[in-house]
Amino acid sequence: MEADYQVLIKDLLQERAHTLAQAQARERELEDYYTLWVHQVKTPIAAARLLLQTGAGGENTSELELELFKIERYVEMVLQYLRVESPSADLVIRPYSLDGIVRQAVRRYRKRRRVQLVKSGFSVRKVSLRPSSFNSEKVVALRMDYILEMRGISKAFYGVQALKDVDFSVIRGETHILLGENGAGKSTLMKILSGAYHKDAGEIYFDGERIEISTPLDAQQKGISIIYQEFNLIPGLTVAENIFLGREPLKGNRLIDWKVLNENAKAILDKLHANIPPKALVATLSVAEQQFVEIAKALSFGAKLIIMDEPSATLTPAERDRLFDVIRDLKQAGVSIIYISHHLDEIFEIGDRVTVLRDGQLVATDELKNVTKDLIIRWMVGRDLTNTYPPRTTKPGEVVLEVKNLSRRGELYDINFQLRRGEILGIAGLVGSGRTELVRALYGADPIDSGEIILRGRRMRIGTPKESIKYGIGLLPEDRKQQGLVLEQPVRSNVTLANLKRVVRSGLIRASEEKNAVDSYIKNLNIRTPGQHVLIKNLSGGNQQKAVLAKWLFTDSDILIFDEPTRGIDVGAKYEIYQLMNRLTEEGKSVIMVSSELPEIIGMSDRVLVLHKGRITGEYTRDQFDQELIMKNAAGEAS
Amino acid sequence: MQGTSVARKQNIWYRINHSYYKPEIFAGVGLVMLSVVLAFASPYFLTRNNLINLVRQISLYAIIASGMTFVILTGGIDLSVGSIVAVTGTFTAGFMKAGTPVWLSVLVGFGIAVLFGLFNGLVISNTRIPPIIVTLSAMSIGRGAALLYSNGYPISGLPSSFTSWGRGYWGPIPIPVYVMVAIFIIAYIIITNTRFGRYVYALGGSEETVRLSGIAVKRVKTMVYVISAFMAGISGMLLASRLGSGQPLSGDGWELDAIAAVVVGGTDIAGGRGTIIGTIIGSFIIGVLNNGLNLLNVSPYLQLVVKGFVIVGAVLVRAGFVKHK
Repeated sequence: MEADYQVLIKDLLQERAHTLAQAQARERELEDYYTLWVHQVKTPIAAARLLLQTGAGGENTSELELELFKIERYVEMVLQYLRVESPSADLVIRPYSLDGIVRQAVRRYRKRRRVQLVKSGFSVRKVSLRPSSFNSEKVVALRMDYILEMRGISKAFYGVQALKDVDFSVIRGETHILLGENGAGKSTLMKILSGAYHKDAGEIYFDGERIEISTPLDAQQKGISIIYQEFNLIPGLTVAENIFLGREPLKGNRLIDWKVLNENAKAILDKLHANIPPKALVATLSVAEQQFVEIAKALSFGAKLIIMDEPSATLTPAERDRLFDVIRDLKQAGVSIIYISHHLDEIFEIGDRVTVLRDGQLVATDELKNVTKDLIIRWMVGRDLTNTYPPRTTKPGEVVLEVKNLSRRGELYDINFQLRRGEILGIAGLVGSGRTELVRALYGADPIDSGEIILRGRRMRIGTPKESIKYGIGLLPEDRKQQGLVLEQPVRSNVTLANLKRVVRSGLIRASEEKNAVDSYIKNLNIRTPGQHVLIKNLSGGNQQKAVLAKWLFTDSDILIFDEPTRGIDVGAKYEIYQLMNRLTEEGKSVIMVSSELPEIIGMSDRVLVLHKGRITGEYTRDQFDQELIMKNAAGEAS
Repeated sequence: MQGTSVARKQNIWYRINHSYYKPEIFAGVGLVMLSVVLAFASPYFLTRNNLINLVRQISLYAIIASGMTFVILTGGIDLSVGSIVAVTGTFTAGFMKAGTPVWLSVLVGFGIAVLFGLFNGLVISNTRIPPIIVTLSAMSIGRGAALLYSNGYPISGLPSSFTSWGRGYWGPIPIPVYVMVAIFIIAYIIITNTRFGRYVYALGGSEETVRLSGIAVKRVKTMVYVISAFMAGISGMLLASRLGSGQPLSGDGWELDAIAAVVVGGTDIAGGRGTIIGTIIGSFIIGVLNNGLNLLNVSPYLQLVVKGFVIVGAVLVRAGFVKHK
């Protein structure tokens, strides 16, 4: 591990000279106080020694020696103070000079005479105290061989803080797992890194240099490539064309040199041991093969860092193993990987370190060998699962809806289930398992091939949304913005859209009646909006979701289908949505909830159906809930 | 801080900038400015004769533009309206010429217009062919039908009971202007106060949302093209009545004036956003521009060039002001 340490002596001396100048100006202050950032504690002393060793050749060795001796003492003291008994490996100490923030912290310390835990979370603590033996003016930067360091990254969207002061770093040649619930900020962070978004604040260091990333192309040229879940490949072009899109080798400055193009593509694909012909059309490739093409494309840019967004989500186990082999090869070649995943099992197989984000903030970074699955879950969720969801109190009543032998070719096969009055029925499954397809078919959004639906003992033929609405079924779609709302319309029209006839008298909409009705829903569901005339695109995700719910309550629906009810909704509003679901069931309505978040399914459902490849592979009532079992069913592994 | 934000809210610029009707306000200001400039540039502009002439000219394609507003709000477009003007005029004139009673001929004319609308609407809502292609075909079919029916010659000599509509006045105002006003009032009520109007807006915003809300998307879509064609029919009827003849080449290029009026009036060509008030203003801008350039003796060829640039300019200004980051 020690070989991984590297001291940036140049930085060190530069910063030191700078501080020295400051020191002369404020000698007294400097003698008095110093501030340390203890950043994920690892053997500080070993690190300091290494700094000494590395710097041994230089002119300032003796000075350094002295300084490091002081640092050693200081760090020991700090650790004592923090009651860290045995600091494990990998400590980064970053003492800061006495600039504004530090002096403020010092002043605060003087007042309170205690350690300031400024940052929340597990591993980052800001400590300011009075080091009796350490009154030097020196500043030391000591760090790992990081390919990437992001410091203090913040980003807000329309007033919503998506990232708050996040530090994130990747060591050269490691596979760094990035975890977090939906909306935790991981995609925002990665989009900043890949140039799709611009940060509001913070610094990015890449390969030793401070960089600004302006566009995705810029990021690629600097050596950062991202592979999105839905690939960025053009199906109608060949593999080689896709890899070198926009950078085709030219013959005589005008014409594409096809021979060189295909040879170059083949060379890269061979490096990945991927047996894909460069001339094959991308449209004809499997998902896994397309992924390799994406990786090849990243390598063709000379990527030093590749971000993979849930790469295994749609792969078979065998394909996944191939992917992992490729990732290991890449590591050997010194390429670093940021690996985003939801599958907590596979990350231990492939990852070196893990970083967890929650609610836009850094929770922890640690080596995977130091952590357990439970710890990671606790980091991700931040509290006990039981507190995330309001308790279910209603007892399901009689059967209101029964689905028999529902099939839709290529998507759903022989689906049978019942829904009871006052029940929340969860539908779980992986991407592509048919969860959304099932509720869409049930709602009549897509036609079915066979099967029947029995509503309150009466057989009905659901064919169109219009009929479903008549029967009292409402769908809150997954893609809220495109399918649940008309964004450019006010809250009012969105709520009344599906049942305008309720406020129409002799052909004309009665404005006052409509206003009153909508007002009552705004109040009842606690939709936070400056007024019902406000365009709905200006509302937050949670309030938009509540508006969609209001739409269905306005049509008197009593079977509500929530497809990903809390996607893109912040934590506080999530809880509100759950409470609303509980309230609806208490009022005798029934809820079908599709979700990709297993905790949500387990936390809210009375009963769960598990889908795999369009078939129901498991059905559990609340007392039988078992996360692992459900996952196995969803993966099609259990019998 | 509190004080300043309140002050900002009271500021007229702030309010315009944050108004839903911002494009309409800009169009209105543009219209006033254009009129003021013309009033100074040409002494004839503000005379009574010219103003009456101006509104009569405007009325014909403003009626078309009101129908076009419905179509564009759903995110569609109707290129066939100019041809429908011609086809309505020639067929109505032809039937009258052949001795059919005036009322029946008019009914036939409207029937044909509605047929064109149904063709557009049904094809567009039941196939994946984009509206621009379907209505382009209808445009060609309509023009061809008018030419075939009339053999390429104007059909003139129409009874005065018919021509008095297009030529006549009630008080000092020409009758077509009354028709235009009535149509705008009806269109305004439909668009703001009926279910259909809501659906039109919603359809332009998100078709899938509308479909999943249980609304008969196809019917609404078909309906807007029928409305558009019917309005073109009214316009064609008034034109034939005013000219005293059914001209197979009439209405040529009117679809562009109508679309321009809608777009200059602040309606989003992608649908979902716009108002009928905006279309009125837009129609007047196009009309005043035509009229003014005539008064200033600008060559008709150059007029087309100027008009083109004004449309792009108007939309550009609007886009520049509307899109704020």
